[in-house]
Amino acid sequence: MKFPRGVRRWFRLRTGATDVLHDIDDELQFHIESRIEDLVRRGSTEAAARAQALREFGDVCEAREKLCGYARRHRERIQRNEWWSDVGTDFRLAFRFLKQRPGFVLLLALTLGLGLGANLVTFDVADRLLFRPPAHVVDADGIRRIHFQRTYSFLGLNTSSYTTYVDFLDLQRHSRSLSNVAAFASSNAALGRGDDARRVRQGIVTASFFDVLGVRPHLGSFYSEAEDSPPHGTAVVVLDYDFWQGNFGGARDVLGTQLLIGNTSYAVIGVAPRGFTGVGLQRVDVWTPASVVAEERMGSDFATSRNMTWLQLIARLKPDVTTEQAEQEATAVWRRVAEPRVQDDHTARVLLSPIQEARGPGETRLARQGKVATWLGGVSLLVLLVACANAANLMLARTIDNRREIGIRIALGIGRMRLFRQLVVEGLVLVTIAAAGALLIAHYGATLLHAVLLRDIHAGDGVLNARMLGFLAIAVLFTLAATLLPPGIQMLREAVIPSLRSGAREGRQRSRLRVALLFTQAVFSVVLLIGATLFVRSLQNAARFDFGFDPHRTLVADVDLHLLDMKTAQIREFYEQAMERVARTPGVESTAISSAVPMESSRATTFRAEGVDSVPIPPTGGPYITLVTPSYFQTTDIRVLEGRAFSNQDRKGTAPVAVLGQTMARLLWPGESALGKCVYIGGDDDNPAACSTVVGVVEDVRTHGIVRTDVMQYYVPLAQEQVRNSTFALFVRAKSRTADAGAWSLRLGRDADAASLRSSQDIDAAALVRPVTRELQAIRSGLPYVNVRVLQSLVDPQLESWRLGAVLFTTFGILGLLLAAIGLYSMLSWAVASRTREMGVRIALGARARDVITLIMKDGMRVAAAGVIVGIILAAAASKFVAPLLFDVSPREPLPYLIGGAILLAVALLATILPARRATTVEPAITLKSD
Amino acid sequence: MPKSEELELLQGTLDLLVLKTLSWGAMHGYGVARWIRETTDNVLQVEDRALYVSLHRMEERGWIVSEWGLSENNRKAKYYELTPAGRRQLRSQSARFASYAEAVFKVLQTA
Repeated sequence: MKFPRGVRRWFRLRTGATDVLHDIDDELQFHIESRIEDLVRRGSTEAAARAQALREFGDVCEAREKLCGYARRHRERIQRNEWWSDVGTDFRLAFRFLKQRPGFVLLLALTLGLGLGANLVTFDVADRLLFRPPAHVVDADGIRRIHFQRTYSFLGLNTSSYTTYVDFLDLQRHSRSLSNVAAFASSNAALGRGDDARRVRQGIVTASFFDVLGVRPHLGSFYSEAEDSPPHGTAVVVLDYDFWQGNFGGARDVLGTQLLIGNTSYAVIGVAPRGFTGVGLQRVDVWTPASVVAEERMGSDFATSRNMTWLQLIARLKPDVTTEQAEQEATAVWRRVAEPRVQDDHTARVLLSPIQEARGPGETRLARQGKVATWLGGVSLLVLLVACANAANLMLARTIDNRREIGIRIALGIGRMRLFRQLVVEGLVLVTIAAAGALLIAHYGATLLHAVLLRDIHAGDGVLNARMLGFLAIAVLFTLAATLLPPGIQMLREAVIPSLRSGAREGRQRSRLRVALLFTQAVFSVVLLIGATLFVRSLQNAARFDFGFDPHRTLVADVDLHLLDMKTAQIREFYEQAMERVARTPGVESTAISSAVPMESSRATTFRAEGVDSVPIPPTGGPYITLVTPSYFQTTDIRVLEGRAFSNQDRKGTAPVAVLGQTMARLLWPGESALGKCVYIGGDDDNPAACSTVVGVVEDVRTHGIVRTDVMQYYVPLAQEQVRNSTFALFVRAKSRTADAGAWSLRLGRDADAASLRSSQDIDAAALVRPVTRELQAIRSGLPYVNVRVLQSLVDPQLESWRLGAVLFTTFGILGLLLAAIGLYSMLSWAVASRTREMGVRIALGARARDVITLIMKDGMRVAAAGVIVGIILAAAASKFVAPLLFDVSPREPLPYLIGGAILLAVALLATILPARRATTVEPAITLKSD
Repeated sequence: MPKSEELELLQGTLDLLVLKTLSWGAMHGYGVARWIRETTDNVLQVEDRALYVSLHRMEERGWIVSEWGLSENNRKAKYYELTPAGRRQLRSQSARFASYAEAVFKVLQTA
């Protein structure tokens, strides 16, 4: 503002309401007194002049009020403008600071970006598993999954999600607290025939399923109750969106096309909206009515039989009904109409759980993954805290470096709040850059995660969505607060005078705040490292779990020949042909036929044992029977522990024999040898079974996943047909090219099966998949889908949650370690820089390089050591909670703790050596002269 | 001067007069009153209260700015000065008043 000559600004404009009033009074008083002066000069008396002046003025009081109003509004406008221009200045200064020290800024942004990114990724995982309702589901909070809890004679109290079609109908008809009940199941099915035969994921759902979820079709319509009622449903199918795009090019005239799924031809009546996966997270290709599939697979009594528990149920709660009320009412309904065994069971209950599968009762795979995800959430928070501590440390160092400048500005009257605000603006700019980086990390990190670890979960519409952005906003605010708190505190309590003194350096007085931050960083890093070690060992143990068979070199092939209406004898002939042909294929060591695939199918029949009154049945059920050809044990690498395996002598007409699993032998005849004993397989009261002699004992096969419980299993020769059998599978053992088992490789790819850790043996086995498929297809034309896979692929899904934990914990552990190392390095560098004078004095006084190095390193290592100790204690305390997530690893083992602590100390050593060495290069003469 | 001969001012014209007065240079409130009185040969008697209301209102609108300073006899006084926005207002309001007066004259001269 330019002023005319003669008028100078001597006072600042006063603020405050009373000041405004004073201003106005002064102004009016000046006016009145000037008028009085003039009048007196023209000859009036003082009193007359005053009276006249007041009269001329008008109502002074009213004037004051009005002027007050104007002045106050004016003042507010000025203050607002000043505030905005101040903020603009702050931003300008922040950007200038960015340009001046890009390295510092980049480091800070990277640190925070990593912390934020890690949190975003784990939030995405936890969100998908635990919180987010499945796509296209309306009002997911009102939907419940239904579970049935009962006491079984051999299982004890058990909760199961699976039930019969009859139970579904009962609940749907009679329950008053559930407004609509639906049943669903899913399985793999064969689509088409011959060369175009394919595997699809088939969703088998009742018509009420779509109603309960509230989903609308993208094209066409869903099927209704009329088309899905027992005894006969209508064969219609709804396509998945991506399936429709991929196989029909998104053509709108797909409605009415016929698809051969399994053994039935379905007419397409609609397309589901994009990303719809029902209530689960896995992809589904086609949706078919439950009644149609049930009739095809189970026969015409599917709606009345209580033998097949294959459906899961969901229901919508009626409004104003609580979960507890619904549970009680549903229990009453179920017990009223269920079979007598349930009616007599006083522990029988119906349980309801939220729609997310990971939140259901029991130890399902997804429940475990959900727990791991929750833990990872906590862990990523730790990483963020470490990152914030790092950033705070760096900002604090800068604040301390700028003490003199800050002191001057405060002395000039800028005000600490103003400086603090500038700090906040700087922090905001930094965190914004970090957040942008975090989104990038989250996008690629989550994509990678889904490709490698969470393969069966449909990734859906990408990673970035409103919930994640909301979470990011909260995380950003938290980060800002945590990062700016220490430098803010430092700034606000800074004593001005000492900082203005020339040569003001810290000397020996270390900022306690910085040390505290570094200490917390060390603690968290150690905890993360220990956690990572535990999980990696857990994964190792799980991967080395002895399933009994060799999953790496064995393939299993099966074809659903029932779809071709072949008789059992013809099917058997097919497999025998296959066995011979494949045995001659190069690369194949041996082949065998069995009646069951491990982990997928199992079968039990009536069983008695010599001298045993009641056969003990463990929770896994059984005893399970498998019919095998003589080469089976050799092909699947199941060791024979006693006696012998089957031979070609054991065929129809010769004495029936059996081979028992080792646990079964132990449980039936403890302390004795099972060889030579009789077992009675099959048969009933009318047709008692003949004695099958036990000729061998083999090691157990873990057919129920990675659990360490007893299994009852036994084998009989396929050729002897001691029980009726109509299912077959072909087993193939690959020749191993390399003798060592150690070559591991990680392959990533778009294909669902491609991303897995493979040993060189796996690669040999995998290479046989195509040749074996071709051999089988050559036996007969027009085959339905030929399913050939390496046994490892059956084992992999079991390992997934441990793999998830191990990979992510390790990543976070390394991240935390990196951040702690950066923190240590930066603090010591800065300490050295600020103590150059002291170093100069020491060296001038004759200190050796070694002494200087030791001095500096002692500082750093002291903090690191303290952090290690506290970190170990903390981790030990927390280990109790993490124990259920580990496989075969006792959290009290000392090795992981030692490893974690040792790694941090080693890194700390490295991080302290460099600045320490720099301290020895100080030139005493230069430093002593400088200020 | 007898009161009956004093002319009462319309609200908007007071603003115009003050703006024009200030266009001669920065002045304090009393100076503006005196100037108007002298320039109109005492024909226009501005009520001081209204003058200050006008000054403060125009300041709030940003047409003039104020500054405390020292008067000719070393007393603290508030000086007002035109802003560029104020100058624009002065121009436009002058033009408007001129055309208003011209229109009124046209009617009066017809008689």
